[in-house]
Amino acid sequence: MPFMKSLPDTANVREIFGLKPELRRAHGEMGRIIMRGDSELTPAERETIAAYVSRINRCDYCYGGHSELAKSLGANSSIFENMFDDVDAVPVSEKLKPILQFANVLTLQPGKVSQAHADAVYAAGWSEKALHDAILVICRFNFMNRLTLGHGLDPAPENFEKRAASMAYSTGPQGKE
Amino acid sequence: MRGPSPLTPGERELIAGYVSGLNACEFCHGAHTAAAVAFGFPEDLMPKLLDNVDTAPVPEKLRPILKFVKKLTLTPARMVQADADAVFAAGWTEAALHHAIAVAARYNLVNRLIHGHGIGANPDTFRARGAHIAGKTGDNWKENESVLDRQGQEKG
Repeated sequence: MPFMKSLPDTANVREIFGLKPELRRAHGEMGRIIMRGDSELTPAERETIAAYVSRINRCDYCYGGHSELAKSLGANSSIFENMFDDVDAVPVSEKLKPILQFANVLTLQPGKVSQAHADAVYAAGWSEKALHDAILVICRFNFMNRLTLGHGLDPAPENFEKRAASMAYSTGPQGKE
Repeated sequence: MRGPSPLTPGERELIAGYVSGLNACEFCHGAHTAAAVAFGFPEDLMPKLLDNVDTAPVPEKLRPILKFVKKLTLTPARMVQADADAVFAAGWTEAALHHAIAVAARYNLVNRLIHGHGIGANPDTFRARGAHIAGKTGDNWKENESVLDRQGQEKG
């Protein structure tokens, strides 16, 4: 239930941005660049990272929408049936694991990220640009999780699929609405 | 950080510096604390705030907002109606809380951008950067870029 009377009980992110409409456009533009712009990371991989960050931040609202979105983009549904905090237990590809490890540390202990965490990503075959792109996804969801948790949004699991389908940048590779 | 808001730019910089300190992001913490000082907050406030938000000498009205952003930063899933109600009880509007959440969320993003890329802090530049961020001197953006360039070159 939202913490503010000016938000309806069924409020979603769109309504949070309704409190400051000029932010909605900037945020949407940032989302298209980070989540759907050119990258070594596929949109499905980026949505998987988004879901993982939301999972370890215990943000059910964002986890629900972005896990559904990842699946709709082709990510294996078994990943989300086993999305534990411990990255080793999550059935993602070996290549994606060091990126999720990086996401774990940067999300839960941001001051503890070290060169070794970055080197593990490079050792898996990713470029510096790919790590940069992953960091942007991790940062965006540490923002989004707090935006939704801070306003007390109801996760409303019955709406996960609908929300995934309605995300502004989810309709095409160029983020056309 | 500078748009129309129930929170003054100085209050928003104090939140930014505080969140960055909680996230152990020296780079952002140093610069935004200096900006809060440039806007008039006492220099010795931030260490006291990080030490204990309940006893630090902040204006009483601001304390529930600072407690809210601390919790939102460190244990975001534990936010409850009572955290928001404490803010409203201090006389803030829902818009004010929304702005405080936006600032806290922004620095939880920016701190991780800095940490994720392994960017360290150079305390010598904090005061100048803070003054620039606070708009007390010339072109801040240029200075920030040169700081980053210098660090990149030293590393390389």
